[in-house]
Amino acid sequence: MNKAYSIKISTEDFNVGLLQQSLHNANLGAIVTFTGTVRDLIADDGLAENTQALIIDHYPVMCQKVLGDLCEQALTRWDIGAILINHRVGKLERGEQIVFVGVSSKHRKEAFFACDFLMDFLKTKAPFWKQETKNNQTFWVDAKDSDQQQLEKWER
Amino acid sequence: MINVLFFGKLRDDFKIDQVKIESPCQTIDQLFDLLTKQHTQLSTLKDTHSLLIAINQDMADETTTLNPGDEVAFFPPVTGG
Repeated sequence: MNKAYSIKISTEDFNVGLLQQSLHNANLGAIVTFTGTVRDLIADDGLAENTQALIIDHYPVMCQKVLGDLCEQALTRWDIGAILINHRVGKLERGEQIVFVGVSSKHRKEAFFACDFLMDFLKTKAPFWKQETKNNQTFWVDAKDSDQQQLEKWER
Repeated sequence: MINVLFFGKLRDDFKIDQVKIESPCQTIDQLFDLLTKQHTQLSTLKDTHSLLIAINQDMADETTTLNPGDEVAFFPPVTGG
């Protein structure tokens, strides 16, 4: 592997254990991973809304380009070893895994920072779109201002 | 030729996923007009709230110049992760 990162976008599920193992490197002492899953949402009125299904649409070529660029930025900014990103697309059920970001490094701080950075930018820059079905209604999920605000901390 | 793609809610709202524009086209404004000529439902595309534009998979805006062979994508703010 020439590049220190790998990006996979697929309808297939992933195995977090295997992904974590593949990040293991005897010269590096830290691996930080994040896994995002399909959850039940709580509406503003406090009532639980059952997410029945989630469909993730994406712009394949641009997703690879944006995520590749984010990995390059993380590798430049922090002293990290390798990055693995897996993102599911297509139809997902409640509880299924959506996204995995794993980072290896010599020391934990760099890997935590890089993983957080990659997730913040993945959520706001990579062209994926969620369509949810809950309470028998299907709608496209709106982008959240709070996700956009998370980017400010990386400007420092 | 300019290849135009639509994603997410936009594709559903306008009931279209791809349009090929054969006429010469140098600006996004011209592209809006040419799209509307081919598909009248696209007349309101330019007024879409929070419309995002990518040219050749890089984020762009309405002032970016177009070249033959470009791929232009229209989509709403992203919601992955």
